[in-house]
Amino acid sequence: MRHMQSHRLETNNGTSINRKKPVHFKFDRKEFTGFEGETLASALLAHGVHLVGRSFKYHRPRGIFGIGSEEPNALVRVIKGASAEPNLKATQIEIYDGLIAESQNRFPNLKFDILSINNLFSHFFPAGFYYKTFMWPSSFWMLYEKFIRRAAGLGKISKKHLEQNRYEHKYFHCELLIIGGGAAGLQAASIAAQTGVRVIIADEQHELGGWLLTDNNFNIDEKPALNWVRDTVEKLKSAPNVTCLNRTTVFANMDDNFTIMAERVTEHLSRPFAHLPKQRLWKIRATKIILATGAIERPLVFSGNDLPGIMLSSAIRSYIKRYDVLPGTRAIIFTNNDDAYFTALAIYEAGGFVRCIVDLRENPKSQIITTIRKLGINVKTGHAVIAAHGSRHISSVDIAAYDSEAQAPLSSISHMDCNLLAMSGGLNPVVHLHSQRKGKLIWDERTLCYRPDNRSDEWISVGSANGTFQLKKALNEATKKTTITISKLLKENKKSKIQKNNSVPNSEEKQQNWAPTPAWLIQSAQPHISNKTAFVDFQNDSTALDIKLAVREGFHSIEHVKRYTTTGMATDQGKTSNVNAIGILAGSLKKSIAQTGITTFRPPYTPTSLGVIAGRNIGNLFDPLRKTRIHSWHQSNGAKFEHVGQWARAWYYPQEGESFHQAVTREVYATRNYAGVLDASTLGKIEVKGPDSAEFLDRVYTNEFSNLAIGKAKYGLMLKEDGMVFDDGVTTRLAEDHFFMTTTTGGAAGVLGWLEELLQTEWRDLKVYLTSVTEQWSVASLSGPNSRAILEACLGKDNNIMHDFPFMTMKNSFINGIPARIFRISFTGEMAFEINVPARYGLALWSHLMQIGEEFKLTAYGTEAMHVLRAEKGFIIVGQETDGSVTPYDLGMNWIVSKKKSDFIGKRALERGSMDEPQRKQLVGLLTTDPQKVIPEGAHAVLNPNQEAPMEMLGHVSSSYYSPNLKHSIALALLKGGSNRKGQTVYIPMLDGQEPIEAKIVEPIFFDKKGDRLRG
Amino acid sequence: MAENISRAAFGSAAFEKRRLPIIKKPENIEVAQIELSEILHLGKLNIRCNSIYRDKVSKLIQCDLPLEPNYMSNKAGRFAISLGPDEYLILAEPGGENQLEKILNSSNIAKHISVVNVSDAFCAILLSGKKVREFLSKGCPIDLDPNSFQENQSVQCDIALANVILLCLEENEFICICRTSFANYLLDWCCDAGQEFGILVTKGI
Repeated sequence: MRHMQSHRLETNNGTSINRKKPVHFKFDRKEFTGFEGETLASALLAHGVHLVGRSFKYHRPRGIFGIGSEEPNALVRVIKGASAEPNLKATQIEIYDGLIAESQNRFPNLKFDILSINNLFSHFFPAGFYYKTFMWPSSFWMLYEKFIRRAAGLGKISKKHLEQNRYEHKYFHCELLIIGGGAAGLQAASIAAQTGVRVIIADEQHELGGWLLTDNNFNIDEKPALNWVRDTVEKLKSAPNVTCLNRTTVFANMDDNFTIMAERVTEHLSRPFAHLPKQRLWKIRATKIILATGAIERPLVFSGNDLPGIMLSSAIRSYIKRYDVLPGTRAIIFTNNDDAYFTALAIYEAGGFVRCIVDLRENPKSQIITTIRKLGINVKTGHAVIAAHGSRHISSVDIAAYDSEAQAPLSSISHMDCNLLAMSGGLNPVVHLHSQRKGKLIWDERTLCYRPDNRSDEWISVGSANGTFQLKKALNEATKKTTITISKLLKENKKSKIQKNNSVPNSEEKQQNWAPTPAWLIQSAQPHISNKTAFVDFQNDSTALDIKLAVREGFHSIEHVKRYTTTGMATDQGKTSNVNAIGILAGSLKKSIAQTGITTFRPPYTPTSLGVIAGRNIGNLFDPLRKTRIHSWHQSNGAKFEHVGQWARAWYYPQEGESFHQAVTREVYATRNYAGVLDASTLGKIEVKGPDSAEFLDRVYTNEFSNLAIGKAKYGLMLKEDGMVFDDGVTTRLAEDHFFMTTTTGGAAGVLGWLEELLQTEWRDLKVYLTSVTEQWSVASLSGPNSRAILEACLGKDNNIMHDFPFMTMKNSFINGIPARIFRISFTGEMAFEINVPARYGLALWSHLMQIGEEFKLTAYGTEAMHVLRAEKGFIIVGQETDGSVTPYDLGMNWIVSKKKSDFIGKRALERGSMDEPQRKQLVGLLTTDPQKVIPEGAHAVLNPNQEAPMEMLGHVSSSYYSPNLKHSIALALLKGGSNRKGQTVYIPMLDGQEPIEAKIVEPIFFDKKGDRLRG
Repeated sequence: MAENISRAAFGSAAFEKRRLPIIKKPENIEVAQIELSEILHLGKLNIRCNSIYRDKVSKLIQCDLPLEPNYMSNKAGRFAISLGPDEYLILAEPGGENQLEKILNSSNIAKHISVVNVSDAFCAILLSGKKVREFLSKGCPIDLDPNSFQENQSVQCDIALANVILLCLEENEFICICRTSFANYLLDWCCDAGQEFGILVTKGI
């Protein structure tokens, strides 16, 4: 059954809806019909539906309150196919055919919500309730946590959200970004458009015009205000230099005018185009920014002010004027300024009954008040609404004469029934984007608001956003400031000049008296009762009582009060609550508002979907996966891969039915006994060229390279200035002034960056050039007793180089016609050759090796077998045996630290006394008592496994494997004073009650200790 | 033997494992508005030299090293791209890099400059089409306005998560040079981002 649009006016004046296009949608499983162009909130109000949610803490019934992004109450969940998005504001969701939305934070339904029992016990949930209650006993936290987790959080996300929704990113550059498409923004844009500079104007609503869409009963530029809006927007849209965006929220304003905005591209469509995203994130670099973000009305704080049917006055006026919706028929207006009188007039003209206007001011005078009085509407000045009553909707109010300064009623209370209450407590300029840049805010005593200090000429506030609330003045300000800004811009760009005298469009808007009377809290004669339900922050359920309690408990800084009471910390970021909270705090502290101060706003301005922040960096585009040129061979030979940095490296090659352990054992065994080949293409490679190359290497490595003969290679350790190991690798001298350096796979980019920095900043006198060639070369590392024979066979007629090819040398040759640099170096302890060929031949080389190697039992091995092979020899891996706190001495590699060289990076640090400290962690080998038991890597070793926790730790296990060659579990560990502990027994305590593993400390070398196999 | 090499070379294009052509487009677009293909085996040389030797190098390679940062020069099918105050990338016809390397390394300034063949370290991708700038702006943070990034300009930047060198050949034609190991990621990204405009990926030339 469809419901009646009982609150839709017959007049058909609504500026934002298209009556010809009815739209069908569902809310909480009920079917409704609205019109194209309106929001979910407007369509629900048209059906008399106010109640749309339960509050966060007390589960109090809450209704639609505002009209835009300031809405604290009407948070709903929108369901589309299998995906659902929570916490969307009903005031911002455009309805479309088939829209399904549901209310949140209620169970089982809105009318009967079980947790609303919290409301009855609200005095048990004061500010700081969680801090106070769950602090003790501390051992109970595990229990509390489960309970709190269930009660916490707002809304539910669906797991399939990202599969079903596409979000994209876009970068854009412009000279002028105008944020906000109201009167001031449009005026600024139309001036900028004429000058030819690139302009973006963005507005979060689905149409431009701002408050002119609501208040337009006057002329601008000699034509009806709405026509002026339409003409201006048309002009902007047709200008090639202007990008005009609606449905776009600028949510972050950051350094250097880098701004981010989210454009809702297709989410308002019932059938979105498949190729367009739901939302698009724009990352904008703007030379200048104009903030024309407008202002938001403040509510008034009194008992029961959160009942459905109590709304912001300006919002009610907008619903009437834009959507032909009269949210209630018997209205009371509660105000401290003139603006609400226009709402009264709108209600009156729409056929509603304005029972009474309750004005806090003693004796206000203006034209609109006279007009209203002439209509016979009852105006009570110097009065206040003390309390609102009703169960799920407002039904009556208490009114009394009121002393604003003493914050107390002066007369007895009169009772008045109603079904709508419009409240207006003045305006807050939207200063969020200004404040995000650490722009300061100034308290303006006259207009009672915080406005920007306007110190920057990078971002400039105009119109209501600057506290200039009168239209005429706002247009004037926008014209002037835009002209100045663009003149500066064009001067910088040396482009054509701007016309200096841009005319200000003449507006005939009725002048309003923008001097509201201060009213931060309306109290009854028993404030301790009335303040309990006087809500300041509607979304987080913070009340006036909470703020007063915080003050009594000693929280006096606004930053502390904010966090203690959570005022302003909800998803609406205190758009309606902050200034009232400051006012109440100032009153309690007996300070002025300016002295009390304001908190800083941070991005995002409105809640932003994580999906749009991630964009397309998901799934296979989450992180680039780098593959070597031989990758396809690994893949077709069943390799499993491991990720090393961004690289995918062949980990092991399981044959049919083989487990991980079996495959690795087979690869290790084959390499030690016949031959193995590893794809080592990912190793970092740097060409070092220039007359000072040798000197340069002497400075960055601990050992000497200037004495290296041409064609010879040397292993080197690189330290940072603190003396800790940074990287390692083999460097070969190709010519007098030319070296070929290799680095670790993961460290390649970091090493190149560090060395470039040294050359560009510290050692500008050295004539050395570095070029990364990591990807220029594909590398096959051939290893094992048969490696020599295989290489000889591969070289064919070029094998004469093998006659004299000692360890740690390099030769140039050809393999099957492919030019190759062949290095006789070894990371396995076997006779080994690293064959480098230009990458385009990588796969050809590999295939050729496998083909020739077949008769020599050549086996491809992966990185896991490589780890086992090198651990058997006790060769370190930087990043595994080192962690930035390990010196060459700790590794027992004193031999690599030159005593001859006058200096190298890290030398001075190594000479500090503490480096000889005998209790430093040093590299040792571990042999388990049970040869089959493999210690988990990262496990800690202790001397006595029976001591009480926390145990005294000796150090940790850095590498641990089962060695198939030794038929024994082996490990490398960094232990305190390890080098003097050889022969001692240590224990590795295990999790889950398993027995500790017993192991003996040995030299960190397990296999071929003399290195005979290596030299062949 | 030479045959072996050419076959090996042929098999190692950056997109070697992809079945081409790839066409991705929405139904309402008839012709793909973005075209992408690899320029195979373009010769690439990294040259480091300071300003004293710049003219000499320009003479030897018969193509002027650009004086301005983020610019390239173009002569007889060769490009010289500025990568930094003393760093340049030369693009040459396939095989041309070996000849240039030889000329430079046998010249009398050889010991003052560095010449490194990086032909295989990078691959070159040709991107064109009337929506190509809009397409690139989905992943590239630089200002791609036709007035800001013009013919013969070059820039080192990111496209999505890959580091690239972007060259502007014409208003709607670019060469994107990236490390070969990133080529497949970049292709995936292009196919995804290009869908909106229609994208056609063809075999290299």
